[in-house]
Amino acid sequence: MNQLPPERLHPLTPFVKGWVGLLAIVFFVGRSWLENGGRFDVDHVTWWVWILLAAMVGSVLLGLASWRATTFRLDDDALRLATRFIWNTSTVINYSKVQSIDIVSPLAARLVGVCSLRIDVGSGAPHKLEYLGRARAERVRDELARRAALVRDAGRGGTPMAGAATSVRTDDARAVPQQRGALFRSDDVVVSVPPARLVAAVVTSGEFLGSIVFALVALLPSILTRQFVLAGLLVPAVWGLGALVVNRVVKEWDYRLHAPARGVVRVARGLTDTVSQTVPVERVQGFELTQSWLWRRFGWWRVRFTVLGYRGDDADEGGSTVLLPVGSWAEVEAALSAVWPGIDLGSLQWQALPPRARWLHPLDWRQRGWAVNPQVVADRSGRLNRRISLVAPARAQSWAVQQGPLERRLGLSGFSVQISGHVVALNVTGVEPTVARAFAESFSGWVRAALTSRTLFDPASRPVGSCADPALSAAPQRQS
Amino acid sequence: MDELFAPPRETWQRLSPNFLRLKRRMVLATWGVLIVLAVVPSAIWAPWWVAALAGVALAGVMVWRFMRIARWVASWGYAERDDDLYLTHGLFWRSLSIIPYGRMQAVNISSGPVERAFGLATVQLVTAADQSDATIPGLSAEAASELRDRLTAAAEARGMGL
Repeated sequence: MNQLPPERLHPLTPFVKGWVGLLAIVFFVGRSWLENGGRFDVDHVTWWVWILLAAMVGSVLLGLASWRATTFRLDDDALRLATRFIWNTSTVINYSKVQSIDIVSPLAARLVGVCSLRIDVGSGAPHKLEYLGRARAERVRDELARRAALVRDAGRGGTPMAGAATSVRTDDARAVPQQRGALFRSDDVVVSVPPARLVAAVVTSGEFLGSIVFALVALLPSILTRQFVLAGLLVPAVWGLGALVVNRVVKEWDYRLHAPARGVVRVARGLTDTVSQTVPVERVQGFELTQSWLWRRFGWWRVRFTVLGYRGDDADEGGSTVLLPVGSWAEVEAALSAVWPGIDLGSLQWQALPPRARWLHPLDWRQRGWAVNPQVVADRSGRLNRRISLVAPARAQSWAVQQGPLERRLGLSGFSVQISGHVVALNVTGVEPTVARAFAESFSGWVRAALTSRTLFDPASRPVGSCADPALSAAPQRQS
Repeated sequence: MDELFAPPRETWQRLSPNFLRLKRRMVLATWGVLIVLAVVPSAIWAPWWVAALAGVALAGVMVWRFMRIARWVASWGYAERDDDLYLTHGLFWRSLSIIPYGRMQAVNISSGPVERAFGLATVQLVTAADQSDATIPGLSAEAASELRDRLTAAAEARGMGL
């Protein structure tokens, strides 16, 4: 093992980390300079500015010392990070543990031209390399991904590629191999969302309109009683609106979905903080497609997915659960095919609920339906806001048949499939009991086949027709 | 409707008879305490008929639950098949869950103080989904540990990770 000297992070790191303090210093010093007519008069600067200045200089010096003491190196088997400053820490990240690598660039870092690398190891908090220059960060990411894929393939019994892992320095662009060969396809964009469409979609989305209605309702008491102080009720409504706009527009600006390599998709998004988020497709558990009622006229859908290990909507740190913020049906199919190749939404045969299920679902009985085949199980509902859930047998953790008291009166039952995470859930209620039980039995076979074959979607193995069990192939529902 | 929750082969494996005894005594104990808590203060501070009414009403609920608990315990059943475990339970909300062995991350046995007094234990199957409903209460301690050993061996043999 050749021991190359370890590498350092970008020298501007301590300044980027302490940018708020630097900004404050520049502001106050500049103000006193301007007030004194272009001269810097030391006596006129108030004492607390001196203290602030001393604190900031001290922390910048500490940051510089910490930068000098922080090193990392890409070794044969692992990425090693070490800090030898007051506390000595040493972190070893084995390539086999690397799940995904994201590039995040907050606003301050973007102005300087650096970004941080988030390495997700599947358990615990992700490790961060803050900060690296943009080109160097991409080199580190690509090299780390390449080595992680090599180790994974070798672990599965595949043959490792030539040029396997040796120590390399990433600050030399010539040392890191360019991405060519069988492991990487061309880095094409699968779907991109123009910013104008994003803004139009947010403004017409159900959540936005709901917040507007809430704001109007909050305004009503102050209008009726002519007491303007009650307009303070508007504050939470406006806050909610603002949070929605920030979350959707700012975080999903200029959204692009790439399919750079086999087994991985990459999402690039962000207005002020740019994020390049890598999602390994093995960790995607299921999808949820939603369409609010104003979007129906444009034909827009929003796709969310459950990724193992993402806790909720952690969109700040790159852990967003949104696959496609808004897109047409064709774009939805393209995005889904990038993650689960071979999925064919058009071949789903939707089954309707029996008429007596109207008592269970009075509002959207006509829109409800379900479709099963050995590759994917789908469930749709919703009258105003439509929703379609997709779950694959290869990702199911458990499944169940259930019957509540009302269903028992009606002679119906329901089935559900449990997957990890809380974004997507599949729960169909109001089907015939024979259908539910037949589903549970057939699903066992599909899960067994999917687990033993270890491929999620293989168009070659898709059976002709939907499924063999006649109880599951009732008369297909008309396309509504 | 029974075909919906019929066992996959011949019959379901049932829980230990001690569990029914435990549950019956818990019903008596819990509702007894509730009755005392309701009757005594109302006898002190309210007319006598309020206390009597509360006592009779709560006693009626207690008797109803006492009789129903036998049916509830009898509704539990499990069956181990080749590749997965079937588990059924419930009176109002009946359900039948199927968990494949390959998805079991861990099998836990726990036993509270009351369960230990009756020689019982609860087996819990952990999958990657929080909503998986896979808990079997009221097995005898030996049956629980044998079940856990069988399940862990099957899960290791078929383990497919997450």
